[in-house]
Amino acid sequence: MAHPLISKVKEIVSSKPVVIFMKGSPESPQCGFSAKSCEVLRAAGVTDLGSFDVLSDEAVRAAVKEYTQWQTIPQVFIHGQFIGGCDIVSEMYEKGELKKLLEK
Amino acid sequence: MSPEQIKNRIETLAPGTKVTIKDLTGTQNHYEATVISPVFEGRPTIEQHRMVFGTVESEVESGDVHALSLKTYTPEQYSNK
Repeated sequence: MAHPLISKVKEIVSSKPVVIFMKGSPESPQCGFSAKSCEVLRAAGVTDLGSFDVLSDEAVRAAVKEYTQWQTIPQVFIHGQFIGGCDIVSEMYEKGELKKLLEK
Repeated sequence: MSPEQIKNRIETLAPGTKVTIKDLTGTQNHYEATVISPVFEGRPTIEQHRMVFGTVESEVESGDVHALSLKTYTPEQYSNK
């Protein structure tokens, strides 16, 4: 059965071109991986980053994992599409794929 | 799980897959893997990572491997690095 909060996840995902589900906030991240992901997104030129603090809502945290079938936080979405966590975002930045995706 | 075991497992992904494993903590449960494989050609990074995780799914789920950090490349991307 689908998680009851999937629709809320979809709403958050579509609220901004780039959205991160993270621990803490971009200004005050509570985890090194969340912090690094925000840093990489900023380096790639993201100025208007949407974020959701999963520590503030355990149900949304479970729902986003169910939605993406990805078990770790942070999770980054670009134009509504799930991109990945810290490793993937960093790797895509290094390969130049992140900028390409953001320019679309 | 030993570095050798995890390397062998990931190499079952596809013929021609090359894997380098780094034990990040010396405790055989936090690893970094660099995976170069022709099977990654034309696939988004997220899918490349899902494919690799698929080969060690049971160990990650059981907690035998606590953390696996990944870098994935096609042979071409790797040689242009």
